[in-house]
Amino acid sequence: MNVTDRGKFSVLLAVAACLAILQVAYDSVLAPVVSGFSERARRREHYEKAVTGKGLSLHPGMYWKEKE
Amino acid sequence: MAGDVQCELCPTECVLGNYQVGGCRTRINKDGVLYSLVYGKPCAVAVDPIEKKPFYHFLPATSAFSIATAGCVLSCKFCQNWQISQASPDEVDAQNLPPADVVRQAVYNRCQSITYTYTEPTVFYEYMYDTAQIARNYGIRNTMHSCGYINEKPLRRLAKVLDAADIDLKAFTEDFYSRICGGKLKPVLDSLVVLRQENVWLEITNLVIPGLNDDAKQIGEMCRWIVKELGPDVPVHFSRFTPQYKLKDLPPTPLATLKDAHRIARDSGVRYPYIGNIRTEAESTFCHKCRRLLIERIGYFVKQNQVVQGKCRSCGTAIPGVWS
Repeated sequence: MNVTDRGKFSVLLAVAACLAILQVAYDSVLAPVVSGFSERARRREHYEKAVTGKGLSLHPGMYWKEKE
Repeated sequence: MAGDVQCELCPTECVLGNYQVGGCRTRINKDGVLYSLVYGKPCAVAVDPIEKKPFYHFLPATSAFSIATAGCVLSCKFCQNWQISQASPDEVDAQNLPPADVVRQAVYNRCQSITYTYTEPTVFYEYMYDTAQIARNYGIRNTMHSCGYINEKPLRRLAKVLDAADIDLKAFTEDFYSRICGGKLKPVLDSLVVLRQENVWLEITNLVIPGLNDDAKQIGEMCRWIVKELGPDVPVHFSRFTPQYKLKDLPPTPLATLKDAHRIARDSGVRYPYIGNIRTEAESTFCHKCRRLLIERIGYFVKQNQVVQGKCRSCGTAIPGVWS
């Protein structure tokens, strides 16, 4: 197949645009979700270490406002 | 977010995601329920003279069974117990001491009171509350040394089982509380008023720090507020600062500054101002009417006590406080 320079440039441009859109989408949508998961995993790991590892126990905390 | 929990204990009111621990380091949200991590787990347990708290008008020369857990609602740069107050429960050596055992230990050690102290008792609210309830059944009084950074509803509930409170009024400006303590002044003032309304015996401690809160005008404003809102009978302890934690570059408070604060308090109408953390005559109690020596103290030691049935032995004036 004979591809002209103009054709090659168009393909390159389309791929670059796709990458840019994916990057923006990741930063604004996926990244918070991914970091949220990792933060929760980190917290959970810390909790397991702190509570079970040090022999602490959980005691229900008091509330004063009505729970929604 | 779904599953988030808001802690309602102190004015910070942390909103916690799942497995997130509050700013006090002691309260956690697990699966949408708030839990305390320090219930029955004190990291400091001691029998102290009540004068150490300091309480000067509450059962003088008696022993107070004193407990604390890790954590604090503030982050004061001058904290004297930062090793435990600014630590997480998993970072300190704690012992297993359920509320009933605290009371048992207090009785065994012949303590007339239990004091929730050293760190900030608000962070172990549930532990303190349950212990205090049991203690009452055995005729043991409950006292706390607190920064007063607690919401009104939990404080009013706690006040029902509390006999006395010594509140740290760290300064009289919002700027100091925000910059040095990571909190706010207003909730502390509100707590002082609530404790007074609930008839909890109240004493105030003000740690005087050179260059930060030793301004005579500011001390005067604070004392006038105390007299106006709480009355002239609330003892005020001006405590000497020694370099600690993040304020090691500051010098200890000069005695002259403390004497000035003592004089300003007296001129403002405070009947019982004291100087603490340094040996002076101003650690003793004098009758506000006849000016005779009532309780002579040397540090935490009471050398003589001339308060008889709550009255001055010389002139018969009723001395504010809890004496028996």
